[in-house]
This record gives sequence, C-alpha cells and structure tokens, in this order.
Amino acid sequence: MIANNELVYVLHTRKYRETSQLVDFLSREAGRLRVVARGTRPSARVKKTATGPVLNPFQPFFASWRGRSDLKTLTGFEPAATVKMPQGEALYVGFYVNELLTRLLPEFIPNHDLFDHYAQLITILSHGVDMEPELRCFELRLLSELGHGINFCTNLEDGSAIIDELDYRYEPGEGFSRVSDHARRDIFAGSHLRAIEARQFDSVPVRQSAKRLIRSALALHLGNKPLHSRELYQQSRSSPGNAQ
Amino acid sequence: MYGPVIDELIEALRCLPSVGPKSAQRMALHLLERDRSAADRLALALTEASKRVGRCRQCRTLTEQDKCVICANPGRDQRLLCVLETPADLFAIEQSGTYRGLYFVLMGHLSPIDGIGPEEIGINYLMQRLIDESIDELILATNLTVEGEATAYFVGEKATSLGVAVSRIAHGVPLGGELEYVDGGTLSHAFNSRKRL
Repeated sequence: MIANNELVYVLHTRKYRETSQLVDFLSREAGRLRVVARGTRPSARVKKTATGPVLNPFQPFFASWRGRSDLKTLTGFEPAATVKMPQGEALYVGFYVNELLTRLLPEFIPNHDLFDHYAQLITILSHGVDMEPELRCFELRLLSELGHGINFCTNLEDGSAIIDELDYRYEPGEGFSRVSDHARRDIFAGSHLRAIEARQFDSVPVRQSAKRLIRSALALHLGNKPLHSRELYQQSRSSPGNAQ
Repeated sequence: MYGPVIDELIEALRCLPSVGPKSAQRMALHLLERDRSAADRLALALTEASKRVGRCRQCRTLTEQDKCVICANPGRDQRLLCVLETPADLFAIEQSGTYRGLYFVLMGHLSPIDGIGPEEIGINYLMQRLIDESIDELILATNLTVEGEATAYFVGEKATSLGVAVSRIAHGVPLGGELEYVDGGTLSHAFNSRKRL
C-alpha cells in the first residue's frame, strides 16, 4: 500500500533505535495508523546547523508512507501548516484527546468528520481560548462515530420525550430513564440533557453535567485501565505538598 | 561463528547505541587481536561502574558517591536550580560552562500515553527540595517537545505555588542558523519570544 501526501496529525511519537521514531498518525483518508520514521531524530553523528521540520504532536503534516504490514514506513513528510503548540492546560487537554483516540479508535478506519472535528479542536487548543465546549462536542462526536452515541431524545422506559422539569438517570450504554426514589448516582436534570443535545454549554451547571455524563459514557468503553492524561490533570490541580 | 566466548562478546557489544553486528565484530577482534590490555581495562571499568554507580541523593544524576561532584561543590550557586530531562543534558550544559548553579535531573518527561506521570520522574523529590532548601530561581530546561513543555508547565505551576521564581530557557533560531532554513514552528517560537533591545 502506498500513500502520497496525505493530510495527517501526529498523535504520539516514541523513540525507536538511535535516530528513528515510531509515529502514530491520525490521517484524514486512512484513519489511525503507525509508521516508522527513519532518521528523524537528531543524533550526535549528524551535526545540524539549521533545524528541519519535527514530527511534533498537534501538528498537521502532508505525509507519505508505504508498506504491506500494519506498521508502515514513512517515506516523506512536510508541515501542512504551522500551528502554535498548545500551552499550559491546553497541552493536558491535547494529551487527553490523543490518549482517547489511541485507546478507542480502531486502526485504518478513515473518518472525515472526526478528523475535521479534531483539526478544529486542535486549532482551539493552540489559541488557548475556552476549550471546554469544543472538547465536549468532540467527545460526543467520538462516541457517536464509534457507534455508542447517546440518545438524548427519549426516555428508555416508555419512549417519551425528555422533559426539562424532570430528572433522569443515565445507564451507560443504554440511555436515560426516570429517576426512581432510591437512585442516587448518574442523575441529570432534563433541562441539562436538552442543552447538551443542542451543544449549548454556556452555563456552568450544564458543563458539569456534560463532563459527568461523558465520563460515565466513556468509562464503559475504556474499561478498568485509567486514562493517564486525566490523572495528570488531576495531579496538576492538587497542591505541591501532596502532588503525588 | 568464532566459538561461544567470542560470539558472546560480539553479541554483548551490540547493546551499545549505533553498534550493529559488523561494528561489534570489529571491536571484539580489535580488543582480542591488538590490544589485550585495553580489553582488561575496559572489562574492569565496566564491572566497577556497573557495580558502584548509582543516583545522586540530591539531583538524581549518575554518580558513584552519595552526592555528585556538582551537588557537593560549595562553590556552586546554591540558590539556582536547573531542571533537566537526562544526565546527557547535564553534561551538555556543564560543557558550555555558562551555568554555575545546581541541577535536578528528572530522568525522563511526562508522557501520559506511555503511562509516565509525575511520580515516575521524581517530581515529589523536586518539590521536597524546593520546600527544604532556599532556592531563588528554578530554571526549567526540559526539551522543547510537547512532553518537555508539559513537564515544564507542570513543574512550573507547582513551584510557583510554593513561592519560587520560575524561568524557562529561551528557544528560537540556533546560533549560526540561517532563517531561510529554519522550520516554521521554530521561527514562530522565535518571534513570540523576541526581546526588546
């Protein structure tokens, strides 16, 4: 299989041998894939006087690769645009999104919508503006592209519509049902659910509900293994005395 | 090919970076044919180093003592602390001869996808040092990769909350570099961190 000048984002890089890297790409036309990039790391032998492009995460590239096995060989790449590297908390968010994609997205299944959404999210991260609404939209999109979309329209029990004034309980993988008297966990106000469905994240309580809901929905697919990027974010919030 | 002992030597030499089968064979034959005394010296040095070298109690770099030469030197500026990713970075800065303070070597960087968090790179030890010692300035000299930046941000936030002044090394056009050949990302960094003359 030969791919020429495909638009990709770098999700992650690992060192491989002395001067090479294993690079995880999110490609618009080929989906998620891994390539070997030979000689892309600086070494003591090759003294560089000027720097060439570096395969950094969150950067778009036009990349070419070939190979028959799952692990492809990178044959060329050049930057598709210069995107400012996300700074501060935006970096943690970026790590989180990349870890989600690496964990949940199957290899070699292209998805134009998801790719374009990812590109939009990365642009917002690089500007460091209000990231939360775009992140929640991306997570919802990822869930529905994986075939696990959340049905915000109907009450599971009787197929009736979700109503603003009532509270609902969320069953991951299933949907929403009316709150019974003894239920305590995974409860959401109908008005919040309708706001999330309309992707209106203006109010703080709606944002909190959306975060809780999506976390619960993702947990079903992530299994027992925790997301390291989420732990990192939580540790960054704790005080230095108990940083660990 | 040469018998088990020589084959084992060739195989063992291949653990070194950028040493393939051919180079390993050349090295082994050189030591055995031409320079037996150097072979003995190398064997002894390797055994000694592997047995005795550990981590510095204070900065975590490689040393055979409890405290490395830099940490034990009273002539170093005890109020400056520079955070690095690897001992190789430490050697590079020492060779440049521009820095006279102390170091802290993380032995890696934060990389959540690989499961490397703050605990794995000893950030708790670093924070304890900032609490115990009177450090005026913490200089973050992690690499300018995404992971290095995240590490610098994480350490910087923690140190700032402890009231320690934090700085990050500058990045941009390399010395002797021609703008025409510098990539766009580096150039945009250079422009963003330009300074007034």
